[in-house]
Amino acid sequence: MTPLSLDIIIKVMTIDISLTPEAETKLRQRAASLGQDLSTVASDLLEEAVTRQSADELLAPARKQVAESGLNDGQVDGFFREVLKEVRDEKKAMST
Amino acid sequence: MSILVVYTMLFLQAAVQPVRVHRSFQAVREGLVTLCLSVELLAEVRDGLTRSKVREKFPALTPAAVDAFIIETAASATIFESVPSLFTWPVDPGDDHLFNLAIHVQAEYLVTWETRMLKLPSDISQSADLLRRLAPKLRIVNPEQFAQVLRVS
Repeated sequence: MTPLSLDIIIKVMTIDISLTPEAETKLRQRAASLGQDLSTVASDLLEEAVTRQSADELLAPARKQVAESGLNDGQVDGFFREVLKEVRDEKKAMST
Repeated sequence: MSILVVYTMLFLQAAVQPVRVHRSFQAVREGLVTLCLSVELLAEVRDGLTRSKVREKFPALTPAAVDAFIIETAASATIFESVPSLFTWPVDPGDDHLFNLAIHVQAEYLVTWETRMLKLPSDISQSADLLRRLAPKLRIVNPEQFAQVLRVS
């Protein structure tokens, strides 16, 4: 049997970035508190930021649901007006 | 740059039917206007979007999606933690925090679909008069009128 040979090529992008002194201080503090080196923490934060889903992406299913609900604009408005009234009535009741 | 205050309902629409208020929020994202928010307004929007009756009707409107919307909205705006209460509107005191925000930031535009608010500039009541004095630059317009303002400027 021929042994299976697997080559994995990991591509790593290296970039230079500029940080304000305030951001640098916070980054150093975070790295220290996590016990990790600066570049690892910076890389993790950047990775998280660029891969995180945007509000539009996260809201897309709800927008589709509203569009396919069969409600017209006036009915959607009416529903949310009712919701807003409920929010305000509760706020008023809590403040009195 | 014009200072803008947006009525609560428009944020709810921006979350679920963005096309209806697209131009107003696009102008904010493009940096053409400065959107001002209060912590109270943001809390009202979040509360409205995360109510159980909303989740029952639109289950896809998850807390994570709402939070992402709130975070992105807040990131595009100038936020005021506390706003003095200088004005109250007997017709609907629930709107007071929006008028007070508009007064505090000396907004040029308050964008709303609410007819009762849109009529206020031509109102002859004492409240309307007080609002005109406290926020002399303020124009209350609907999103279509605001889009027109953006086209002209």
